[in-house]
Amino acid sequence: MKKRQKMLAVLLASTTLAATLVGCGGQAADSQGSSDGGQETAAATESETTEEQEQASSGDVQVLNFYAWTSPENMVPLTEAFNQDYAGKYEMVYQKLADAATMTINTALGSGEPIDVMTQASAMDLRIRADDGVYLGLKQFFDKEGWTYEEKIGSAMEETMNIEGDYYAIPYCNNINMVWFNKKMFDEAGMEYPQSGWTWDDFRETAIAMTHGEGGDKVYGAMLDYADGDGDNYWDLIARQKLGAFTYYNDDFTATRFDAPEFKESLDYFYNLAMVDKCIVPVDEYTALQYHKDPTGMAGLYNGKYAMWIAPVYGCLYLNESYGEVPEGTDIGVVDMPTVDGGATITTCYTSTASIPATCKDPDAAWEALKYICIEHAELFAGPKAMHPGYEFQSDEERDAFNHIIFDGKPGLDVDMAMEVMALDRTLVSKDTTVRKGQVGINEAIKNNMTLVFSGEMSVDEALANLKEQGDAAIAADQ
Amino acid sequence: MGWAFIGLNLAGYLLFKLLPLVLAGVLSFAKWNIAASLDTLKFVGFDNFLRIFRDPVFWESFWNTILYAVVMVPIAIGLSLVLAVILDTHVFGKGLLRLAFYLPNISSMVAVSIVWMILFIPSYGPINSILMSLGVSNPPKWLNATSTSLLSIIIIGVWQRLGYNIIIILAGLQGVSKSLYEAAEIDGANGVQKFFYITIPSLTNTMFFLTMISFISSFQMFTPVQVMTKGGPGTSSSVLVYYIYKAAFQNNDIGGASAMAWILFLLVFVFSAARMIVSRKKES
Amino acid sequence: MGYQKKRLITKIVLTVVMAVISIIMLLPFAWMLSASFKPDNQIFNFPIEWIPKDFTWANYDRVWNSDVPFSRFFANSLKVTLLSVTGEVLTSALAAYAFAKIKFKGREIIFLIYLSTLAFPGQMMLIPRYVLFKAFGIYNTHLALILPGMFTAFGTFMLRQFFMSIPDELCESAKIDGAGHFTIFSKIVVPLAIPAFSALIIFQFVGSWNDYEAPLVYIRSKELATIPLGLNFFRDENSASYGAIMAASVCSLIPIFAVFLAFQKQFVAGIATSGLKE
Repeated sequence: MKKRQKMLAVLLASTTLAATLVGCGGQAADSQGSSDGGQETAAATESETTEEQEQASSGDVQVLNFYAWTSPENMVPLTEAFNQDYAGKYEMVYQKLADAATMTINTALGSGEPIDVMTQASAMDLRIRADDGVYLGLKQFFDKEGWTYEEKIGSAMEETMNIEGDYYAIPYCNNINMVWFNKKMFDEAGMEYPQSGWTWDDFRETAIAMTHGEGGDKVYGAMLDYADGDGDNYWDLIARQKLGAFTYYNDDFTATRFDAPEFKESLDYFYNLAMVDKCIVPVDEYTALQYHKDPTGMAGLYNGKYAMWIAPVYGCLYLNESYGEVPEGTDIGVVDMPTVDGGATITTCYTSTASIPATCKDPDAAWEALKYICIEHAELFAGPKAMHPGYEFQSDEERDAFNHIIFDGKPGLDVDMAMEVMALDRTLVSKDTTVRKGQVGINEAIKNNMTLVFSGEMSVDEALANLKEQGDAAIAADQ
Repeated sequence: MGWAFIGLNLAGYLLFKLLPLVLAGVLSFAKWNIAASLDTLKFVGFDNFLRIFRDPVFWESFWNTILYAVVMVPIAIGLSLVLAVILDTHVFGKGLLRLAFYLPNISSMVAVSIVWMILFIPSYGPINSILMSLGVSNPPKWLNATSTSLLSIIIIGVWQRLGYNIIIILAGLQGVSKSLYEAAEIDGANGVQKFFYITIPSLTNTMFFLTMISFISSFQMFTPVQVMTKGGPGTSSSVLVYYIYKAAFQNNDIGGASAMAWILFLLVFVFSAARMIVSRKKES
Repeated sequence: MGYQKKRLITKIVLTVVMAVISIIMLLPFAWMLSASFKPDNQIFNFPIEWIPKDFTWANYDRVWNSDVPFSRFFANSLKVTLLSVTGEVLTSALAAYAFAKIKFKGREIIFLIYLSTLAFPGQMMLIPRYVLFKAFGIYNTHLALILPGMFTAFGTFMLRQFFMSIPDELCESAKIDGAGHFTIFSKIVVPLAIPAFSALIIFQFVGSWNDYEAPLVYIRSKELATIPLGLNFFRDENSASYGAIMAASVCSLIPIFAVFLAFQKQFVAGIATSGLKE
């Protein structure tokens, strides 16, 4: 303990020394450099201070800083509506993050800037920040409102977000995986459109039937990102449907369950599609041509490179003109994910979440903003991004109204079909995990083994045996 | 007197390079989340180092890094020597040609990687199409096979490095006395002889710099891996700095990443010290 | 005459050979250029369409005329790059002279430390520097980008090697004439090393101009962003607009071209030798 203090003292001493040094050095450097450089910095700080003063002088209006990575023009409806609803009390100011990367968000959180609401895409990062005391527990606010997380957000989400009895984030969106398809290609092939309730066998038959051509002109039955080595991969879809949330872990989180037959079934299935039937886009092609990135993925679908595309609902966003006009006659349909047995529909989903930093000056005010963004007016934040809200709908009307926001005005989309399909019942399985044990090691093992399987250098059985062994070792090492 | 010249640079260097480096050393013995305050920093002794030494992916990345450097550096230097001599005098439109060779260094890395990934597509990419039309029945899968992924990264590395090396060599060539060449010409030396007996010996200092910098920067190569292979398939193209980057920037493991960075630093320190002692012995 | 002719033919042949090789070097640039004139949904058509089917200026229009203050990013990049390159050339040249031409105690060991710290991955400097800069109060200012760039081991090492190629006899004779170190440095060594300075300026200009990670970690305000960081504004929730990013990248290459073409002219055999003859 003493040693630690000593080290810190040395560290602090050297830092202060350095700080005084650079205080002079910095100024000298600036004045020695081109004079307009110095002036510019001065001008920038000046304008910042006047801005602050303006905010302070406009009565008692309190500024709430909301951090996300959405493009600024998409934020205008939300901030305008909030500032109108809370006129005279709060003013929401949007601060754009450079990207959604872990380091970007961590440096912003650690910078000492006043942040009232912070967003993140990774549930694991959320967990780590919660554990390290970066975020406020939100249960207190739910209690104050007289809500429970479960009834407000839904039980599936509650299960994922519950971190030792408290909640540190609210999902602001929910990305539901669906199968998009090119209706024109089905018409030309004389094939019937897929119907909700179809099975994985149906999917395979359809994909094989829709595949034709050779080499660079080959048209594939389907595109899905099964193993690019970077996270959101679909090789385990069937296992997720069968095993539910926290798919990789056994019931008490002491080991993985990659030895379960569901994993073998799932990997066998996608292995066959890719390596035997060759009816889905091979990994080397889709990573080169970027079909695993959403805008290019949608373009590949309507440009006729493949007939079906597994992607989240927000995939329809990329029909918008700003990504290039869709070809004439584009007709895109959507259907639920295939089922394991033709019975109930189970679809995977994942979320992004919003939190209140522990350093926030006025948590009650921040809660007002958080509640507004995630629960009361998801149509203003999730809606324009073609994402569903993080909570479950209370009525059919609410659901349909929200789906209209998502699907309307997307050129080339069969809106009626989309509305109809989204109105069907489905069980959601969250892909997010807030279980920390072994997580990094498990992801690394998945990447390493799955890229080998899909480059044809490792068998399914060997890969799953490795996963089990390496995943269990990672959990054991994290105990 | 020396200190007067060195002072300014040394002061800035101590502050902006050495101090952060020492701090990184402190972090390598700690566990800390950059999003949290410094109070939450916990010292964990040698845990980070022990964890890394037990990690097979670290070792694979380590050996891949060395293999990359050892293969890439000599090829790139050899090729660029020849190209630089040609570009120095023996062509028309020097300025534009030099710019062309330097383009891979300044083109957007996204563009670079997409173009190479498309060139390398195994089934119908341009490279394999040419190979197949030349009668190669089973062309390599390049970025998508464990046996060739690192090789592909090396090819891209050489391609990207050439322009950079050429600039350094060109700058060095300007210090080679023209009269030496003229004298050699009178003695009837041909181009190849001039290259080996005049050009190369005159470039000793430049070549020392080029070799060191090439090795050091190839130890630090990671963008092509990050964008194109993510270290795969398996771990066949994982390199040290990519692994470090992933630990620090994606996996919240700043302690482990700092420890790996220090291992790399010590490795090069030993290497340079040895190099220095050897060259000193030669001098005396 | 025959010799001259042979030379000319060799030169033509070599020019053609080099031009062919340089086509491979041009590919990514050509791809950037062509993508910047395409709508996003046609960029990844295969085989690559080098000449855009639906030629459009929309990406350039978006870069320069949308809410994103791209001209501001441009100005920021220019300021940061010019200041740090100027600073680096100055401090490195002085230090390199000491390492190459002045014997003093501790020279070797300092040089060894300089040399080996080059190998410390720049990415791992980011986090300690982030902590330090917050303590120094220069976090989220341009100084956080300029200052580390001004004092580099790379520039010192590079110039030292070139200074060492300059014969000691030249300096010695100047010394006998009564010149001090500063005179020798500015009147003899620097003029002889102009090609080396040019190379250093090219490298550091490109390095600083294209640096993404340092601004990502040290800069938070949009008003202070440099071009590589600012490109994130052409990115929506889930992914990037390749067309806009390529258009912005093409624009940001123009200063690099200018610097390159201006400074590579200094690679003219004879600068150094003419000095030596005197």
